[in-house]
Amino acid sequence: MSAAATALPAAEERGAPLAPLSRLRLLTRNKLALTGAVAAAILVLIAVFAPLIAPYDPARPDFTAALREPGWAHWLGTDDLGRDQLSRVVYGVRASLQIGLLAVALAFAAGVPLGLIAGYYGRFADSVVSRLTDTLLAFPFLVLAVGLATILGPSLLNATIAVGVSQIPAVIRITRAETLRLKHLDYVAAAVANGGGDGTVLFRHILPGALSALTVQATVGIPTAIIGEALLSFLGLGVQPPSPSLGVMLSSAQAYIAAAPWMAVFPGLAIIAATLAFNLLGDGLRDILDPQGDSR
Amino acid sequence: MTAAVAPAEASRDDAVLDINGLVRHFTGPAGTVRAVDGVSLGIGRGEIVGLVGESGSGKSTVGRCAVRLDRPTAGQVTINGRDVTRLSKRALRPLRKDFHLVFQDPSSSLDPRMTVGAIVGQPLRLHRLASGDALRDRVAALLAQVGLRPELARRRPHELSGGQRQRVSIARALSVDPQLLVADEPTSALDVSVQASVLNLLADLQRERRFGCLFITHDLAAVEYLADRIAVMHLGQLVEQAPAAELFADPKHPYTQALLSAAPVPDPAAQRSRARIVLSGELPSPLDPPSGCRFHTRCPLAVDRCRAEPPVLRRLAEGGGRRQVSCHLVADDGTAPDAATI
Repeated sequence: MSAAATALPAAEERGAPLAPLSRLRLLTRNKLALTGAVAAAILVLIAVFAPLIAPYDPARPDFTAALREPGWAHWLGTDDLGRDQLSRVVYGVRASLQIGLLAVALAFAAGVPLGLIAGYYGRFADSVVSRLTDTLLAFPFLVLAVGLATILGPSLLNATIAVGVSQIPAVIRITRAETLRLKHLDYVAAAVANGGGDGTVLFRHILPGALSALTVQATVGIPTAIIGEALLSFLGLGVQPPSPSLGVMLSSAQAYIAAAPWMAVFPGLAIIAATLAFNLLGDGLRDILDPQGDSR
Repeated sequence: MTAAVAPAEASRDDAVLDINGLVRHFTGPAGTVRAVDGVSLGIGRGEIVGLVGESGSGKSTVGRCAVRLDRPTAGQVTINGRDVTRLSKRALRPLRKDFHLVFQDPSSSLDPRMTVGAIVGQPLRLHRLASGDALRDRVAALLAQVGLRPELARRRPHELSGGQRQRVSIARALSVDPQLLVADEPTSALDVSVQASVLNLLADLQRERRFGCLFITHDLAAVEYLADRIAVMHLGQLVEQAPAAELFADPKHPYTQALLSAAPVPDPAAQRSRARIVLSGELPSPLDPPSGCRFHTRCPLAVDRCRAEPPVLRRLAEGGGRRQVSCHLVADDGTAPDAATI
């Protein structure tokens, strides 16, 4: 009897999406996801309050204090121009998150509508969008980014565009797959029977249904974008010195790797922390939002 | 393709639904599935027609084509005298307040993200029949009519029981007061204990509102209780069609006889004594239906003619011409062999 009583609500929950509150509870139960969420929240706070946290101006050189080891005055040391490393890492995290969010937003703005169209209308629209996706995927990220930087010139904005464009195919594919799955569900057919047009079906029923998969994609897209930005800035195609960026810092640390290893270590750690935080959060969200997942 | 096309029963002026020679083929990598292959069926105003058959016989496809959630490959669907077979999605939208359907599984036919109130009110909103307070009042009245407390309007489907969900689905379908309702196995996903109450609800609402109803089911007891007329479907085609009482009293087609003999009767003595016709083998594949009569592979009475020549659904002279049968062995005067005696 007690077994049957406990089994019933579980069966109820599996088919239906959980109420927001119980989703939050699942997040707190998943330790890794919680770690990721907390770390991501701390990083976001650092980025938002960067001017308050940074003890020095991240771009102002102080040649009397060049290449200082980490100490009381400069917790993370200084670089070859005497700029405070802590301030630069804080502002670098800010730039990374900005680019990450903007790039993901760009990828979604382009990818979600295309995925919806391809999945819902099928046939010709699907062929066109799928070929476009394949074409984009055929370009390695670096070739795409270098090409864009060559055409548009190296800048923060163009690096963001390159990173965003490189993520469009993944967003299209996920949106398309979700649309294909959802459009055959009875409740979508019911919306048509109710007298709903394509707009009602797509935006009131299919898009909300795809939201959990898209949330996961957004969360794992951010670390990819952060690494992409670091890579482009390292190569001089992204953020331009003297603006602080984790990639720029790593790039200038190369020459001093033996004399001042802290110049490379701390921005590197910041990249790892940001990437790990959002990946953990994304994986955790995937487990929570995907009822088919076996990790529960 | 040998579609047995017969004139529809209700080609009268008062027909709410008139399906003529409906064909629906699905072409896939494995070949063409002939889900529906020449079905003609009419429903008069306020009439309940039961469509029965095994799983895979194409009943649901007929239902989906009838409300144009699916596009027929060939044939004609007329609703309220208007041919809707080839109308575009856009052209169909304003007409959709005249017909609706109740899906089989209410847990998949209700959007899990919407409240019950939004679900029931959506047709009214989309057809601009009500908004604001008026909409809320209409939804509350509809919920009351299907036996649900108005407070449930704020709940979401997963907070409801299966029976309650199906009542929500019925309230949604009837919110715009359609003249045609297709009910696609509305009780088969429900617990046995609530099936009867949902059937009673449908029967009561139909008596009140007099909508024409295509009731798709494999539950023969339900269809005997509800339907005025019954059409029996086998492998994409109708094999017999007759008023409910006549069909149950005297099934002519061997398949109908087998189907009825498979359903239990409430009297244990009668259940023990009656002959059970057991069909051997599976329903043949609609990818490659048998030649001649599609039932001949499983028919205990099949003769050579059945293997070669497809029978045509034809009106019998017997009984005032209210019965149609598609079988070589049934004579025009209604004399039919009894599959149970073989």
